[in-house]
Amino acid sequence: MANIRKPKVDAVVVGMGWTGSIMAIELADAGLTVVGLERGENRDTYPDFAYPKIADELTYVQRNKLMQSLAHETVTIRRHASEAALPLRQYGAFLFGDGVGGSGVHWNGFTYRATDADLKLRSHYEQRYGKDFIPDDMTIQDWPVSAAELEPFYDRFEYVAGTSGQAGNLNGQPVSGGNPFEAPRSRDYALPPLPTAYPSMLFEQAARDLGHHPYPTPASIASKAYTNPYGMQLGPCNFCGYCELFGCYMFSKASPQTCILPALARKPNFELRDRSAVVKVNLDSTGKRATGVTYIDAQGRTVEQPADIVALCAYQMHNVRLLLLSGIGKPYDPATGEGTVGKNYAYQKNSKIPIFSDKDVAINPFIGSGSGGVVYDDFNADNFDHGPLNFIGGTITFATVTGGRPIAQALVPPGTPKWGSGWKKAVKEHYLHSFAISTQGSVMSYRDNYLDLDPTYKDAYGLPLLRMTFDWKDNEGRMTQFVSHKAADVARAMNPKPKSVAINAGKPGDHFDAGPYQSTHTTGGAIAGDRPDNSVVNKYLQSWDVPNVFVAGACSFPQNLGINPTGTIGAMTYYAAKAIRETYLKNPGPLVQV
Amino acid sequence: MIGFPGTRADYLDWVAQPGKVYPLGPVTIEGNT
Repeated sequence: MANIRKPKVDAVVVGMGWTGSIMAIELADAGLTVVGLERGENRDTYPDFAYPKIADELTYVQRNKLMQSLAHETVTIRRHASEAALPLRQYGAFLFGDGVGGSGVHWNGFTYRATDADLKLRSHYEQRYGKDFIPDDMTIQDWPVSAAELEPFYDRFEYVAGTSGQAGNLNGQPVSGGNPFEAPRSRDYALPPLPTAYPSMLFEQAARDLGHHPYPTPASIASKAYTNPYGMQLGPCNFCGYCELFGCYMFSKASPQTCILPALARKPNFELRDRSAVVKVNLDSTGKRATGVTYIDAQGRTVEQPADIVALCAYQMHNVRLLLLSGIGKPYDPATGEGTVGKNYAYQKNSKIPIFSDKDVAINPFIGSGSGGVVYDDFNADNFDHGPLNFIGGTITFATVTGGRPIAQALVPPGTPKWGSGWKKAVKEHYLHSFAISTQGSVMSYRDNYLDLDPTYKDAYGLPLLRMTFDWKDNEGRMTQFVSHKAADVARAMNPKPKSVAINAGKPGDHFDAGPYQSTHTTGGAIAGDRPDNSVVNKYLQSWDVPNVFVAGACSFPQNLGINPTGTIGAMTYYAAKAIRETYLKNPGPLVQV
Repeated sequence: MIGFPGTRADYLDWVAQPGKVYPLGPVTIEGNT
């Protein structure tokens, strides 16, 4: 029994990061009464991200000030069903953003669009390479939307976020300087590209010399003063170097705080409640209709919030966990392949190519903006012939400098001692003269990579933790080796020529290690599809099982992409919000009939 | 010193000067040089 029962609202939004903020303002704009529930604390640019306190690597990076406390709730991890999963007790491979703004506070701002081949992944590969090209254990499937369908919504997100970039394909016409592989876009980015820092210039020239097609990274970091469609104002980035893992003190990086929340807070039909941890979506006796949610407030009281629409907009893993805890949909069973909730958990596979230059080459690595730089897509998606390569997927290859934070970002050549005077000497020698090319690669979905509830470990409220069963597969190992050696060729072609080039790409056969940070781009578990038996939600992110529940975020990705997820997450959320506003509200029920 | 300028955190005018050595020393969070 709840201690408190709140008056009913039209919609309750769970989680106030990007998807929750988009969903809340779009539904509030439509006149609905909306409550936003955020388990973490409320935060704003001022005072929470104010200079100079924000320029503190130890507090925000090593001590994870903006992240969820793992002592309160975490995930358990194992590589294979034969292992016992253990709780993640210290952050490593990925991070759980906490508080208002969520991961939209600490992201770098990369804002890509998916290609049509990526969205039609299985049918595209079957058509081009034959059905036998896809391994039996690879459970990839097509997205239920095309690039053309998503275009207006990618556009919407980019104009809300003030994305800086260079178009490569305007309405089917190639545009010089942009990405020649991009799906047609209807207009330019909201802002021109950010200025190019020196490392990115070196990379760009070398990549072009080798025949690749480098272009400015699409960055939701303002290159100029900008006012977005909600009336929010962004100011130009000053390349402070405190972007990734920090809140932006300059109002330059797009976040729910800089782009949406002040406009949303002014609406009388919206209410934000922070420190409100949703533990369950409540269902009526039929199990086919949600009646609202139950949450625990800051005083530990159980609160029931009735609502006609429930929008799950928490982090990818937490959305999946809430579905499992609430009994919405059938949990996935890897033995039979039946069930859908928890299916197709995926991640990304990244590599780094550190480059060490002579002392007369001033890299100045502290001059950084989270996502400003140069990238090429020549080995991303299906932009190249996979036939002779024997893998599926691809990577973006890029040179951006997010900052020169000395604790975590100082590069030293292979063989340097990990500590002591040898390490200090190497940092002093290389700090100003090194940077890295990065690759970020897709990870396919597989029958035995999935999420379910842990049978042993519980959170602070006594509820089962989410359990991740995930390991690397040879497909991704081959991909990363291929693109990393191509990237090293670019590094060696740079002028001035580097003194040395390293390749940190692991090796095929490596097992997943939750230790080193890679990226927070975890996906799947509540995937979108065209049928209830292959997916959790339809193309409008609507639960097949409980049609007044919508589930937004990277949990909807059927498999992961090589690009950063946020552009697609934003586009899918706007796509869903439009369907709710224009179709669902007139006739509440399933938006896709099967 | 490795060349990290600490909390200066304002380099827009230096992005357009590729390869030039940044001249200023470090500043602490408290503002000490």
